Amino acid sequence: MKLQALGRAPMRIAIVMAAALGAAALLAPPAVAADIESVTVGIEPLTTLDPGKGRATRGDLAISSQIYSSLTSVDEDGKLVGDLALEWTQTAPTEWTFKLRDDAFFEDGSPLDADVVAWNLNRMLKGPDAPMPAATGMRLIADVVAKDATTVVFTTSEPFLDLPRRLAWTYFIEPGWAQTHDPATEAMGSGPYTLVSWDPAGDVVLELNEKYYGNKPAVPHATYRVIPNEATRLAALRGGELDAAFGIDPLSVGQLQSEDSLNVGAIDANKMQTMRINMGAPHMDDLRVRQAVNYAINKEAITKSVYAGLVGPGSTQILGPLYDGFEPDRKPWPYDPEKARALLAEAGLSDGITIRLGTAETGYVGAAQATQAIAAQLGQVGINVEIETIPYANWVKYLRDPNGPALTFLAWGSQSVSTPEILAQLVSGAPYAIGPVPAAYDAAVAAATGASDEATKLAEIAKALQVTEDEAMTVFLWPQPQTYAISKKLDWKVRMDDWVRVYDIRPAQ
Amino acid sequence: MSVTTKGSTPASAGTAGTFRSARLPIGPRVLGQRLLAAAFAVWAAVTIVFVMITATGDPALALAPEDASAAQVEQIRARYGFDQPIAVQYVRFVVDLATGGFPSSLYSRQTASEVVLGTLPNTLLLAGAGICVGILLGGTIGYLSVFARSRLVRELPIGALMVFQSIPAFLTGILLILFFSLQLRWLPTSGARSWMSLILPAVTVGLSLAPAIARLLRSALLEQLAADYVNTARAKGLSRRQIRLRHMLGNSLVPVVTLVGLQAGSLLSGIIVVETVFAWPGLGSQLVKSVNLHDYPVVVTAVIVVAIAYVMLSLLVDILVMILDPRSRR
Repeated sequence: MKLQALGRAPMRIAIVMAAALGAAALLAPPAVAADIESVTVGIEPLTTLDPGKGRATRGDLAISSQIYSSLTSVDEDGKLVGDLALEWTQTAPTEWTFKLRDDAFFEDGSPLDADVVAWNLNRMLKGPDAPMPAATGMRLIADVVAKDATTVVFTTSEPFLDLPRRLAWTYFIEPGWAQTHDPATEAMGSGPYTLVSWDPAGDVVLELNEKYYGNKPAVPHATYRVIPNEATRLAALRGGELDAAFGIDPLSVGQLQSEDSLNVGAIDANKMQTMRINMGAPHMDDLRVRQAVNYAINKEAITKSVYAGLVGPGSTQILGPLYDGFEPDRKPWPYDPEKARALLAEAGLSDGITIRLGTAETGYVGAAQATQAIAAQLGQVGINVEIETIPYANWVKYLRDPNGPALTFLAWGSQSVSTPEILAQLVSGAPYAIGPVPAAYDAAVAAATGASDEATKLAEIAKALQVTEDEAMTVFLWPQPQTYAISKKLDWKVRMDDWVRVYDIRPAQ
Repeated sequence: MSVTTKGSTPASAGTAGTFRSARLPIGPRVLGQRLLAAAFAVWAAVTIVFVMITATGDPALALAPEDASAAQVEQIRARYGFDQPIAVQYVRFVVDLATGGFPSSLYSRQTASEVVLGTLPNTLLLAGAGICVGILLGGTIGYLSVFARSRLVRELPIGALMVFQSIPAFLTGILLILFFSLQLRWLPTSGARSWMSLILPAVTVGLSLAPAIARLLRSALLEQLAADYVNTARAKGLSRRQIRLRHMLGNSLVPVVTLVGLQAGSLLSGIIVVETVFAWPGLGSQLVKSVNLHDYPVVVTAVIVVAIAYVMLSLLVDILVMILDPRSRR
């Protein structure tokens, strides 16, 4: 990997978290006796409570993130804030030092100190089950050491500017407790809520943790109710059995809007739906064909119909607005079927071509109907599409298939809202990148990932974004709609990332 | 369903009349054959499922970080032995089963049998309640369709019931939710929190069974109407109710019981759908989830449980039929 900017003096980035945060909570008038005692939220099937194994911010992690603590966390505006960490500093180009608060304890009274943090990271990176799912995006972490009770030092193999961001979804269990308990089915945490019961096919019940060091949750009791079937989830919402549910099919949003008790709608998710291009597939090595596909899709029409107008066409970038380097001025790729036909003719393909398009059965809002519409529109310019609908169980394997389809409908996301993490999905050799990748893109992403200062990182991100557009490396579509239905009695601001945390509900005014 | 009992000696057949009440309806040799066949069926089901789930991809990717390199995935694959040929994995799995019991779920420290057996009571409850609803509903409507005095009662209920035969269970479920939970607000939409939660899923299962039961009972009863023994019974002066309930219904039960047994297989697959629709935390929901996660110890264990249940049920039905219809013992 080529690294630029290594010669520069390492820049010190010190972000000091106002210790006032805690103080402010003490000074604020005691929360008005919360009007709402409990909420029930619909959720998709759960797998594990173990924060080392969970990966879905709308599933397992939503629960464990409220039971356990992390060093940092990403707030609803995408800003990085401290949780356990009071401050963090890049003490050398390949070293980060985190200062922890000293008042964090597990429910059994044992301290959540630097040793616990280091033990957990080593468990994820080097333990018997390593690398665990939670080690995603931690490739550059070489070593984690507790210097004293409140100081943790991370050594990285290359400069890793986004490390504090990456740690925003890394949660810590108690090492001693884990010896005698199964962290997959039990929990003993340090976060705002404590686990009352966990049934991965039924109800998960939380109640507020009296010992939590941070702001008290506005709602003391929370139930997450697992309802796998969408129609049942909607019925439970309408029947008043749920106070909130997310990820609703855009076409169902309309029928919920007549419910007086619910706020229903969508915001743009921090995720762009795109089609990954396999540049190794027949015809797709030709830039003109890739451009033709982009020109042939009428994003306006599809977002209005399939997505019920909840989102509009996205611009020519795979980043959502919360990501560093997002360019608000970028425009959508224009819809121009004539130009698409002309480009195909120029490529000597005026007789038409046939390509494969892969889509997952579930997971991406609106994907099933959208791919049908896309196939029809591509057909109009002479690109015949064979749709392959893949069950969710085989999706990851399918995504990694080196002989994958020419187009794959998906949305890239990063739990840490880290731009280099997203861009790295498309570089040569990345697990989900198939076919050859332009060298300029690889170089820009490597430089952005290993940048030692923010300015270099942003400049390299801009370069990478430009290459994706110039080379039509992907098919740009639209933001994923973040659909929601929330009881009107709750003050719950929907997040652009996927977290569905009851802790985000604000106290009644 | 008739069982040929070549093994029964002429002598035992000859004394059947004398010892009828004391003798088991099924001989030990037949029972042995049936159990052997059952064991074979369970083994075959497990083998097929094992091969299928292993061939369609292993769980290494689900256990690895999203950005794991091919080498890391390979490392995890080797740790669990997924890199071995399917035959080797299969032998190891069978040896594990034979010696140390069930392997652990890949996602927790629970053994697969703990995971599966934990969900079984819910499924048995739902299946039992569903079968009861199906038999009561189908039986009553089938009986009425032959013997009701008013033509309306004879024709309308069975006609209405036939509609449900053509509606898939998930749609029935959703329609029931819409009407009873959302319109009338009588019952909860989903989950398993109280006995009230059982009603709609049980009725959904029952409604998928009832039409066939009603139709079969109806045709069996119609067949009996012209039978000689009915005339004889009438001539003996038995009351109409006695003839209908004791003789005709009794004789019509054999095909109905056989049908319920035969439907047990499709009932189990139907219950998976019903459990998903009603978010009922049973074996079906667990199976769907485990298949998605490639948690093969749990999937295979669930299949073993289902196969055993199915085989036991059909054995039970055979025995029941033999009790109801002594002719089938020969």
